[in-house]
Amino acid sequence: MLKFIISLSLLLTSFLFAENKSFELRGVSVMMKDKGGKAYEVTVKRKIPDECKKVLIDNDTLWTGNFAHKSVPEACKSTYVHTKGRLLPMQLDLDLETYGELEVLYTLKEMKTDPNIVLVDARTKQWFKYRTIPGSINMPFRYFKNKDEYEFEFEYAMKYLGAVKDKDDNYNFDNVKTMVIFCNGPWCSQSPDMIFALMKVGYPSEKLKWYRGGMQDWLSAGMTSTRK
Amino acid sequence: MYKLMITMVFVFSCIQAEDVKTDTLLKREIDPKCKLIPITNDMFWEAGYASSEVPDVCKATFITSAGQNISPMILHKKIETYGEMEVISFIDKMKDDDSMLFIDTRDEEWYGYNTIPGATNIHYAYIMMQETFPDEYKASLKRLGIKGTKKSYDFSQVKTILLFCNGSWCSQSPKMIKALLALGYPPEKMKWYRGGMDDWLGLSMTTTRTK
Repeated sequence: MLKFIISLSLLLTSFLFAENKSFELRGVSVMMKDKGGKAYEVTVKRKIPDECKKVLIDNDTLWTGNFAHKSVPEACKSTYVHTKGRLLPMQLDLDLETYGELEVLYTLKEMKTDPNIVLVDARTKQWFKYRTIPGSINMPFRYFKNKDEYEFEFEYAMKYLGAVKDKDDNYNFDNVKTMVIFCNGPWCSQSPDMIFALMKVGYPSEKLKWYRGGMQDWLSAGMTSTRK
Repeated sequence: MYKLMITMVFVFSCIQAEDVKTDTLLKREIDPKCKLIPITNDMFWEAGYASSEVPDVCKATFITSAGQNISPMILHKKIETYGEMEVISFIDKMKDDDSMLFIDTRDEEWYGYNTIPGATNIHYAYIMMQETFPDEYKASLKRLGIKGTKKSYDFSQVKTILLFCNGSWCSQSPKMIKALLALGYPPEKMKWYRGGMDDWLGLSMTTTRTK
């Protein structure tokens, strides 16, 4: 009898959880500023339009010709350039964690209460402005990779990240922010370049996280971006 | 580290699939036309993403709304998540190492339609639903190197396996991994290619289907 009650209650709770949408479908709200500096809220989540729910998952719909079948509504698919950049490993360094979409979403959630975590778009400003992940800030990789050319920008970024210079001009990284860094996709070497440059100056690798999938994987999962 | 990364890309491997007798050169396929596309916002991230100016051979279209859930990056702290370079290197090493197995966890129809050269097929349901597929279950355990009987399995000679399915939204390879963990398969002998077919084709890598 007891067994029955337990299993029944387990069954009921599992139904309750099934009702509960998964994390990426519920999403995380992020505050953004428009051009005039006015704050507005964006919910970052996986968007699945109703018409897409009816799309059958079979070989023809997924993998014909240029992959997605022509009968799949435009709203349910997207097209990527797949011939640029180069392959990158899953891990850049032993101590360096690689993030996926869920971990990035958690980061956005944590960022709301923890000012010591930042999501960083490593591409140049025009890319960041065109389309990015809501809630991210822009730190172009060149500021770090070519720090001698961008002396001012590099110093400003280090200050923002909490690296303090001592009297011998050495950086102290004790209280630096945790950064989650991304660029265009798993073929894009800008975020790895930035991470390697940061590690070279002594930034602790446990405070660096890499979102390897970048814009391509973010958008191919149907996640919210700043451009409609 | 950089050097390693660069050399890895050039490790193109000739692989011999179980039932296919021809050698397949596994590499990133970049049509000469694609080399001319400038890397700009307009070309990459216009409305439906790649611009209409980009030739068809340089782009691929994927369904964004498939799957129930997106998988996390790590399924188990002892199970390594692989990317494309690690997959290539696995396939390369597998040629001289019988203790390695590269597994497409989707069903036969999917596997026959298009897969990564070198992959063998063990449908996740054969492991997960042993009562429905008793014969397939037994045969699959044998292929994985699991010895013994239901009462006590012997995992001392199991293969190092690398599993994948359709993409990060596809739950078949995670389900198979969970079912194997439940049986007692050592997690350090399992690797997971989370990106699957989506990421593989999203980087224009060789598959068994020629367009």
